Amino acid sequence: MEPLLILHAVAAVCAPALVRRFGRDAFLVLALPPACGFAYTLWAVVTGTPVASHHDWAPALGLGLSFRADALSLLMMTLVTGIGALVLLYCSRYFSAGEEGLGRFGGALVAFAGAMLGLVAADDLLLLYVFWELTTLFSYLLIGQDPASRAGRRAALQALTVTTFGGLAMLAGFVMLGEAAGTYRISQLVAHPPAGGTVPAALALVMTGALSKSAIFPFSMWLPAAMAAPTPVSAYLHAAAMVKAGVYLLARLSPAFGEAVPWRVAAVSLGLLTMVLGGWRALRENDLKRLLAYGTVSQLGFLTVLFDTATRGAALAGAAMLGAHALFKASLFLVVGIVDHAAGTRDLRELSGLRRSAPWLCAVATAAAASMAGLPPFFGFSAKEAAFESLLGGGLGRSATLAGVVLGSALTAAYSLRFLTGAFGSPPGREPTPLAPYGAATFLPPALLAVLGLAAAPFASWYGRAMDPYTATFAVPGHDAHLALWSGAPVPLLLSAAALAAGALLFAAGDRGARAGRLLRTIDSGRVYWALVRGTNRFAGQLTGVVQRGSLPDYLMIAFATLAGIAAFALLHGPVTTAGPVVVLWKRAEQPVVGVLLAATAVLAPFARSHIVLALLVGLTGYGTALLFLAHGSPDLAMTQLLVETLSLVAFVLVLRRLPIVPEEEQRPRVPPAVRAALGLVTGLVAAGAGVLAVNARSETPIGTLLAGPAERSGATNIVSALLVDIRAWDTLGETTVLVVLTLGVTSLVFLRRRTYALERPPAGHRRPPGRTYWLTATLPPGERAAVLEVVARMIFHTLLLVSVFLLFTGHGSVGGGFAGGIVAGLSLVVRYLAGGRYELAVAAPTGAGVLMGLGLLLSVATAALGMAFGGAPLRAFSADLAVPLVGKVHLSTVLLFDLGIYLTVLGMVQDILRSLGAELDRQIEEEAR
Amino acid sequence: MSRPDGDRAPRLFGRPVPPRTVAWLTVVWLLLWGELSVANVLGGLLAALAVVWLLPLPARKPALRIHPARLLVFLAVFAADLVISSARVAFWALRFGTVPPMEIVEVRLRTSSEVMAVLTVVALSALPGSLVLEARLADGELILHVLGLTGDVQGRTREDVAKLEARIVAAFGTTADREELR
Repeated sequence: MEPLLILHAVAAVCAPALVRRFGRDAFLVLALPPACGFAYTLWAVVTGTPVASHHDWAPALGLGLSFRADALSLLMMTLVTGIGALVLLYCSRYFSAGEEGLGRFGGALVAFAGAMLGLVAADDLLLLYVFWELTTLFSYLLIGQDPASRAGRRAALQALTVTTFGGLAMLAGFVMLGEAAGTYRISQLVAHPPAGGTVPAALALVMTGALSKSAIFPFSMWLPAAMAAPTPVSAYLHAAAMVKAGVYLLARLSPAFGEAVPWRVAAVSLGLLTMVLGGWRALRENDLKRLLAYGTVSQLGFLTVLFDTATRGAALAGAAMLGAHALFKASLFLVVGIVDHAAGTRDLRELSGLRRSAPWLCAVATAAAASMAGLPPFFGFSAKEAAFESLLGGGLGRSATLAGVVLGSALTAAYSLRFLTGAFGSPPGREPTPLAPYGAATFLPPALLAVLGLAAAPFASWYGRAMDPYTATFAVPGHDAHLALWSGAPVPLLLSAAALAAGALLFAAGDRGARAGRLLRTIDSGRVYWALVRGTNRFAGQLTGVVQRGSLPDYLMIAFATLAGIAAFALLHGPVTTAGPVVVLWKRAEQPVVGVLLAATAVLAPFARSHIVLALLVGLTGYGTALLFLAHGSPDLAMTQLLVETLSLVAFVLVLRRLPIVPEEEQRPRVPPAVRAALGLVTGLVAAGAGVLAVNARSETPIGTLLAGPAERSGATNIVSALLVDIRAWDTLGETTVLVVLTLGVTSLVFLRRRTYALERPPAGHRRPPGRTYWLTATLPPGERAAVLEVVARMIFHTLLLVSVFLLFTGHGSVGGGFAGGIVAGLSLVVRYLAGGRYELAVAAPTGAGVLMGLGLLLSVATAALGMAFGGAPLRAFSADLAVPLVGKVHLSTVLLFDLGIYLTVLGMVQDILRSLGAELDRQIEEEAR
Repeated sequence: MSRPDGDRAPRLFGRPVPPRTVAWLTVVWLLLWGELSVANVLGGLLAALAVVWLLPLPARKPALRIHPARLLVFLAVFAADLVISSARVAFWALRFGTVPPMEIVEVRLRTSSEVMAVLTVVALSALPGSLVLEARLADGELILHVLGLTGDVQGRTREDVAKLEARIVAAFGTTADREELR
């Protein structure tokens, strides 16, 4: 199974290249994977079932690559792969040679075929879910194939929203089911179904997913809208494959849970409702494709009814209908595609005389439509007979179901007639539609499918026997049903005749029937959907307006109040600490001195009038904290804090240029200052209290003493850097990534209105004034020149960079590391920017900030991959000592590579901050001043 | 302190690599590692070359020339100044209740070299008790804030600054710079 899926994936990835090379002929190549799948399925049918395989994927999650091909799966696999191959063949001539986006389309279609194959063969609920969502995603791409079409985009989004909504509900249901059963394997779950507890709720959730995927009421609106997709997509996704996924899931779980009455009654009634409503609506449609779409909705309802009746007979009829429907509906869709392209329209009010100009096409369509209407001797007839027979007997509910199904069949017969006369008839007084020629490659697939609908009928009883292993899994036999070309049972035959006659009458009634259908518009679920979407959008907008006021003080107060709330909750409900906190006031004399200064700065800060003074005071508390770290004996922390503080100060100053010097007083502060002060105090108490409690809550010996050993083994004499780049390297990698994302976020906000992120180079005329000494490549405008800074920048630039390199290398053994080195290197850029302005930054920066960050992340990830490839675990570090003549021992380690990655990333981030908060703000200020 | 080199610096892969800068950076590297060994010298050279090549500065004529003997003189006097000046500020800082004498002094520099002027500014700023409020290098004018001196503050300050400038030019100045002050 896996090789087939891999083949699909490879074909999907290669599709754009193939299309570029061979044009639309590439579809012939792309048809190979589904064709291989078809061959495999045939082989499995011949050699006997079931074929099962299992490989562990994520055993800790109980997730495995489990595949199982039993009778039902094989039926679906046959449809998915066979029709998939035919549709791809059809595509090779359906599209015009130079059509845009064919590569993407081909890739998505093959990928969809692969996902669908995986879905019907999966024997694991979670695996099935993965494939389920993949089909949703690819269908989104396929429906929205034409990005310029608004209808296409809307339809794609609608299909995505509805099916994803169902899919998420289904996932929750799957997890509940799997937990209740203790296994996620579908075969085991069906053999020993769990009961009671959360199972009914789980089933309701799963059913929501299945119904949404199969466009059953109230989720039916997305399918007709999805007709905006190219016709091959409709033929494949909306007739044979994707919409059947929901029905397939119902059929799969029905043997186990069909006796759960609420589930059965709900599914059967919704199915009936869908069957009747869809059929009725099809009578009113003038667009051939939409007519077929509503017909599909109706038939999907029919299938739901059959599988959820949950008797052996009904399941047999369902399995037959499943195959028959795929054959005739795919064929009809493909015919519509040909008509649409050859005649230039698919509106049945405009078409005329196609019976004469395209007799073969007409014959194919007639055969398929006859199967759809249930005429003998077509396969559709056998399936419908079996359905009627299986629904005989039983109580009132069963009889009502039968009546509904007969009514639905009458409607089916009526819209089949409507389709045929509309597409191929010649209404009096209408000129014959001119018809362009169409190729054999487009004609053969629908012809083959239609012929199969006729040829399969004699083998109906064989088909029924092949389905026995599946139908036997149902506990309730129900009324006997026979699948045969001519079963001869009198009651079903009578019902069939009645349905056909009623269908003919309905068709003859024409407009009157349609007008009656228009009354049903009040429950048009498409309108309900869009009303819901609009309502959600409006609600979201209002909620955002209330919650996100754009006031930083408000956000801060919400955050602080939440913290205070958590603390209060913890105090009231948390475990009572037995030991009172032991507080050591200080261990070294520096600590109280620095502490008092720090506290004094913090007390002063709220009284600062101007932003810049406030920023400086806050910076001072940061530097003070660095001193405290140093006094406590952690130079690594102290240096990092010092560097970060410096950098934040620079960022603060750069941003504050855009703000008024003194904050504008709020007209009427929403929260009085006293409350704010109290909140601040409480927050401080909570933070300090939590710290004291956390330290005193320690009951085990600290592991710090145990770290020396592992650090030495990793070749580092500095435990902190061993922690950062080796022992907890995953954390570091994650944190670096988060930092990059944050930086990019800030940058993109600043560059919101610009198309380019690139730094502007100085314009050609921008030269220094003649006769001036000149230290850097660019200077600030004459009035703002900072000559002292220019000279100093020139003097220390390279030295700072060298120190940063030194820090990078020395981190392994003593204080330093990639992070500190990166910041120091960044500060050297800061110095040049401050002295020379934005043009100087453009010259000084070695390369784009994005390149640096990307390169850095790449290096870090490559180190991880290296460890995985050669050491068995990601990020496993290697080191080697090389003896170089004259030099002596040289210690090499992949840890250094990881650190270099961090260095580059941090340098890139600093450059990004300068580029956005510095250079771009400069440019905006200049522009506004102009 | 990187020393600017001339336009005719040797090139490496198409980019100028000023040898004096590389030499200076190698020395810094050795000082950072604190050990003189073949490995460190080679490592320093490599690091210096990498830094200079990857992130170049515009090339220009050297504006600095070091005279070892006069550099020693400058450093010795500067160290003494540092001690005296610190003691003076500490003296005033510890006399609670009295406001120390402060004065604003305008000083005119004699050198026209921006490097010499900047070095003077940096040296003045490093000394406690004197702070450069404003440096108008184009006019060679400095505005100083002087703390703790009494008496003829203006005259003494101008004299001190002139001596400092002379020592700096002697230690770091090119021939042209020294000609100017003669």
